[in-house]
Amino acid sequence: MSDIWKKWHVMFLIVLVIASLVAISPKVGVRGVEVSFLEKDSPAQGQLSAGDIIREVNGQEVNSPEDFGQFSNATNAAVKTREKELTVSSLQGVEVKDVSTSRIKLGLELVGGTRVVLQPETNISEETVDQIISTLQLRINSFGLKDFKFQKIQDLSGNFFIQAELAGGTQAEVRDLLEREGKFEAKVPLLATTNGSGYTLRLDSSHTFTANETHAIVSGKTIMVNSTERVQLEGIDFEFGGLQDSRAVVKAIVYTGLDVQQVYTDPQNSGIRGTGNGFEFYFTVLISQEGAEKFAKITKNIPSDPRNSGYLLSKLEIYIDDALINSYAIGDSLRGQVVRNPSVSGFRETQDQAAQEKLYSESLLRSGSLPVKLKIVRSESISPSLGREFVSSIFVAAGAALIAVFMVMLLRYRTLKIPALMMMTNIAEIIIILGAMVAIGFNIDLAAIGAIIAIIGSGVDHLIIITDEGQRKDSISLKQKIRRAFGIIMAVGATVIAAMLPLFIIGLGMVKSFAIVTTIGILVGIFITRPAYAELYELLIGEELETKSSVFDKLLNFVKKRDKPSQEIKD
Amino acid sequence: MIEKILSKKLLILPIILLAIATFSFISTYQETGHFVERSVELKGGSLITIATNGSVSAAEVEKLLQGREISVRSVQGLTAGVIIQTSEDPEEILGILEKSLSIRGSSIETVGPVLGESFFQQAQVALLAAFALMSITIFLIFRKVGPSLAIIASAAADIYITLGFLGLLGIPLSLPIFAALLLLIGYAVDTDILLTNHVLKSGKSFQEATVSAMKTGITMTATTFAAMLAILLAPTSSVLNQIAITLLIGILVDNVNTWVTNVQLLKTMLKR
Repeated sequence: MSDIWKKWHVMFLIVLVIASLVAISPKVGVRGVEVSFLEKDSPAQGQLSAGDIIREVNGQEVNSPEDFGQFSNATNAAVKTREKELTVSSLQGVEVKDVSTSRIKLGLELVGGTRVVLQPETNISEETVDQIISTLQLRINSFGLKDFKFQKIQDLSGNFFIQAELAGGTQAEVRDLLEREGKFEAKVPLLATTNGSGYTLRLDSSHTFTANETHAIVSGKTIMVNSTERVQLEGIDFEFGGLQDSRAVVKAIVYTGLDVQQVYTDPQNSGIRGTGNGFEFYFTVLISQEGAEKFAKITKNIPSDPRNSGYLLSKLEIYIDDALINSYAIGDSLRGQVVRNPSVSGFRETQDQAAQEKLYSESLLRSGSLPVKLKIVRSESISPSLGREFVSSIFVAAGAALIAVFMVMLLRYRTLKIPALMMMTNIAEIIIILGAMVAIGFNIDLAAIGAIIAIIGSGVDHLIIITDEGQRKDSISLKQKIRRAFGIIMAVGATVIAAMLPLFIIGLGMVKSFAIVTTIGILVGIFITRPAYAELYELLIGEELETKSSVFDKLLNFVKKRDKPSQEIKD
Repeated sequence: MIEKILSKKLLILPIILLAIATFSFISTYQETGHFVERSVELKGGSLITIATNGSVSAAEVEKLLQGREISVRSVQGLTAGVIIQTSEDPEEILGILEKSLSIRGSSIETVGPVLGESFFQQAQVALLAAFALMSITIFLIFRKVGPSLAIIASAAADIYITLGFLGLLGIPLSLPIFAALLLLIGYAVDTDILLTNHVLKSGKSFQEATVSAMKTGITMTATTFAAMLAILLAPTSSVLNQIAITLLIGILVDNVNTWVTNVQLLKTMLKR
């Protein structure tokens, strides 16, 4: 048995299995729930934080999100976490999930959530896709939703798609958040006074132009009323908004998404306060120098609003996708000023509404502009309870498969040694694959599991080939027989990998991961586990089994006996 | 009796299977205008899977959704559940069901028709590419045209017949099934390569080589079969079931194709 140390495949196998187990870090006997995330205005902020493991609430053991759900309206709850005991004023806005029992990352189907595939309306470059993704990421974060994963996908014709996953989220949430946004522009309508034959607009200099109800002719260019046609004066884009009394309305594009550099939401720069018959929200925004200068130039000559003291006659209109979404009054004090951090405020009747509107406006301004609109072309949504069922069912399936295979082996070889050895090899293979996936950071989704189960079935096949080749009554040595077996195994492995290759190019998550896991499985099998098995086989079993006959042999003998000497078919 | 195993008459088996599969494609074509039924991932629409407390039949669900554009199937695997395929708004449909049934969990999958169609195109390309790559690999291994062609023909027959049978069972082609089909190529080739390797390289007579290969081959089939059967019988998700049943059918069919079709093709080629 001291020979075992010389068999480097076996050694390698043992090392890899241990490494994989370490990578997976399985934990046993895990109790409690993990705080997955705290909503921004949750009262539990500061008392609990994400990652805390809650064991008990008000003396009752909590072991699943459902258990915890009972306490969502509890006030002054006695919470016991793994590290401490404390009283939490309220558990509102505290989201929990099952504590993970290992470092294996489970795919959406096993955890619950939503996954969508977004298609840009026009063909765009990869750079633009990256831009979109980072903008979306930013936007999602401003709503305080974590665990949102974006991925770039490319199909066979080179078109880009974006896949977005929200663990534990609903389809409605994702749709709302993603589809809502579009091109961001802030405009200020200016009034150009008539001078008899045309109209005059005063910025730094004066500009004259002609206009009627349908169009305006500025600097020789014709722009239609209420269209997105523009003309540039003094570095600022203008659209024509029609006639109002004896004046012409020209809209100045003062900010684009890029000009809004930052939106402040910390308590010093933002908040909600009660005023008389409602609530006012406010927050501060950081505008680019260029944007601020445009703002100064545009607002310089705007008179005050007689009906709304303290504010200018013109409002700041926010357009998304060329549709007017919101308008904000501009304070008097900002007239002609290069203001880099104006504050945005609004008013609503209830505090909730004000909070909603604040969040909305923040996100609106913070979103930056998306260069193109996105359309949802594919979505999947799984409730967490269904996901959990899948997980348990997978264990059942894998276990059943292993047992079934073991039985067949037993029937064929009539001895415990071989099936036992095969099972150990198979299990080692699975552990190494899982370890590899954790190391790469891969999600285990249903497809990956399908692949693993396929490996349970096929891994054994190759072990059978090795065993049988090893047993053949041939005049060559055991080593050579085994080498021959590997010839066959390599051939098969190469073929399966070849068959899997096209799947790598199809950019659809599930199918791709199936291919990847299968390929890893085959490589691990061919280069590590099966050679290890061969070495162990040589060592422990060798030629022993020639004598025992199994069901198969008996059948074959029976068939042979019925044969009369017949013509042989030669090569 | 060994003669009987190698007899040409056994060719009737693969021929019958091919006929059945062809029949399946033709009848599907007549019903739907396509040779294979496709699941939503490959043609667009929504797939709603619901798991209920207590069992619910497909007929019940159909009744609740009368008048809607839907098709309902009982889910294999999940202890109580139903799959609804529809081109209408899935959340609306789920809402209707939630009012009358006690639903334990659900999942919705929606694919836009253009994307679904494009997936299908890609799947077809992938299948052909896999076949091509596999053929090249086999040529490189055996370097003899005849036997290589025999293996490829055998694998192609496997896929053809498996698809046909899936059609007969009313199981639409989906991404998991498609992945399983590609895996099947690998499996099928397993036994064919074993056979060919034995016949060409073991130095034994054709008969002996075939018989010794058979012993190993059938054991291999038995284990995979047992594993897939175990998965089908154990309560698992629809995805795993689809993979398992595809492989199950495929393996059984492969047995016929390896030990009859491939054997006969080899026999003929080597006699020349």
